[in-house]
Amino acid sequence: MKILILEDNETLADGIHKKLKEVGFIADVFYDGEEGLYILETSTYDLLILDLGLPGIDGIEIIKKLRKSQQNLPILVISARDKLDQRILGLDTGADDYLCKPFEFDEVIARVQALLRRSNNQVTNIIKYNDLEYDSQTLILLKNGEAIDLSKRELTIFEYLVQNLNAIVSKENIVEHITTVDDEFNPTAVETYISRLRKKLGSSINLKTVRGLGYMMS
Amino acid sequence: MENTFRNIISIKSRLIKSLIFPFALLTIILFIYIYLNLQKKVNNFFDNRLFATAKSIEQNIGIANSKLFVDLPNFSIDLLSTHDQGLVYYSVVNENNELLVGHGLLFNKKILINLKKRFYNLTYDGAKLRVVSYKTTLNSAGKIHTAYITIGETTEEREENINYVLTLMFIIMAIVIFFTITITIIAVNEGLKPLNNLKKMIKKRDDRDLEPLVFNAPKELEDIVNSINILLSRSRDTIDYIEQFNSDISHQLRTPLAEMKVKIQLHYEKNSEDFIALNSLLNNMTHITEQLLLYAKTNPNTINLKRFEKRSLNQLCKEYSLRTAPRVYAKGFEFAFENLDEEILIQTDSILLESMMDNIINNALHYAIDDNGNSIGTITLSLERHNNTVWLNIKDEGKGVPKQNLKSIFERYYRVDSLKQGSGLGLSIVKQIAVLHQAKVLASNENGLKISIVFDHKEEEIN
Repeated sequence: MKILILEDNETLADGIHKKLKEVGFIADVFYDGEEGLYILETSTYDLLILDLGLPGIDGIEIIKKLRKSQQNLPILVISARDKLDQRILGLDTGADDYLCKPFEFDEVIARVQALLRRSNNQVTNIIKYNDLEYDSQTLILLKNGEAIDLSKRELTIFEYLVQNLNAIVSKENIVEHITTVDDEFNPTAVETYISRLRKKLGSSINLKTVRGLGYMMS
Repeated sequence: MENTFRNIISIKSRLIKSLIFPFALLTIILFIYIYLNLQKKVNNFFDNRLFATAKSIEQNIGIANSKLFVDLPNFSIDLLSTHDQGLVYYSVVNENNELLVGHGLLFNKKILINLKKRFYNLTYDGAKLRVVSYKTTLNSAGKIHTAYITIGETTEEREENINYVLTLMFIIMAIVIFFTITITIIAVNEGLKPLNNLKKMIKKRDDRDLEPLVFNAPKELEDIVNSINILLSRSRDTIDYIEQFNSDISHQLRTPLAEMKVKIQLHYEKNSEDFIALNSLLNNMTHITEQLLLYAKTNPNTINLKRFEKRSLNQLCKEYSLRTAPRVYAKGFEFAFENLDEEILIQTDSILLESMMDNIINNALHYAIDDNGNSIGTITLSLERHNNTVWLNIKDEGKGVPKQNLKSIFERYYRVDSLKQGSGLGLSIVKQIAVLHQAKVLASNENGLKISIVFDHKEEEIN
């Protein structure tokens, strides 16, 4: 995975660069907005880490330009301004995720991985989670290499939960995801499917019920 | 400041007083003047009539044998004795004070010393009389004879006439005063209408609203409205400046903190006590900086109300819960959300509302732990209706706060556990943001600490 870091503060840029390399990513660093935009137009990256206050051309302009040419490139914005400040400046970035300085490296890595996972789901069929491996094209779920027998709806719910790892999905979200407009489906039936998933997958999944909200796989 | 102006008389009262008092005084003076004049005229009329009667008696005085005599026909005597109202007394005496005709002792010569005619008041035979005495002379064979004619009438008729005039005057005066007051009040109200409209407009506005007054002001109020709008504009500019300043400070403080954080993380040694302490200090410094900035940014006096809009509290709380629950679980707690069936719409700034809930949740994450530092129980975010209020509650299952400290927890720099690191600003920020939403904050112990934000929200009638 190739990541571009656009940050004018060298300490921060080099720190993130070093950490990403340690985790196994390939990363390039540029400290100037115009240079960064040029490299983005001429090279291919899987993700962009972008500071908003760049010299040359600022982060907002870069996002606007990128959204015209590379709509799918995930962008993680890092900024020293929080949500309240950004609102004052009228910054509706259109970025995929936002992290306020100062940050923990672990948080940066987690956000990068989450964005890449979301992005990769669009191109790959294989999802890996704990000791499970799911092929969304063949609809086969393997546990330690052995196939587990799940119904089509159970598999779709499993896939949806894994895609939203560490996020809460409501019953309504699940129903919306697994049914078509013509299907008649009672939201309470979701509970039955969740119960079956827990039974069949046991300790391979960490699936919590969040009262009043839905379910969370972590 | 309010009390300073409380004792000052209102413009309306002042105008009414200044207009009604002179009008009323003028009316009373006019009334007295007219009354006195009319009284004089009535008296003159009756006096003239009395004198005419005296004159008619004079024509009946004659001289015989060098002596005066009066020959009053019988019908004249009847006429003199009978009157429409009251009684008539008369007498004619000669220069020797001998009564020629009429009532004795009615005339006293002293009355006419150096006078030919005199009107005066007299009590005669127990009756109050208005009297005219008149001196006339007759000439006979070179000798001059003097006769004193006196005629008096009781005063009932003239008093009745004067009373009639007086009553009429009173009625006219009452009508004039009534209309004066009514017209004055109507005129004052009409004149003060623009001022009242301006007052209503200002009263209707939210105290925090700094948008200019759009008011079609008459000439007299133009300068005041312009001055108010200039002040409002300056306040808006000041708030914008403070917001920008806070934002710039955020940027300037966070960047070096971020650099320090990166440096420490890059060179972090797990076993070095110095690194652990340094990292902890840096985290605490970051937290305090964040909280101080947030405290400054949520000051009710420097917040921009234009960012408030009508939003569904249910939806905002649910979206917030969906975003926050994973963070709560990551800290080892459970999370629950209890919604209301009824949709609650409030004027809110969603980012501020989120900051408020964040601070309560962070407080729970910080304090709802057992003696070994393990997380306790579930953090529940719930919405409840109590009559005309809606309660946003965030409840943990920790040890709670001693009852005597419950009221103090929203005070700045108050910390339940002074040994724990923290800014002491979290719950005072909560209170500030609640105030911005015109809501109240409450804290109670219900198997843990429960913080409630109470919004005024009228219950809709269900038919």
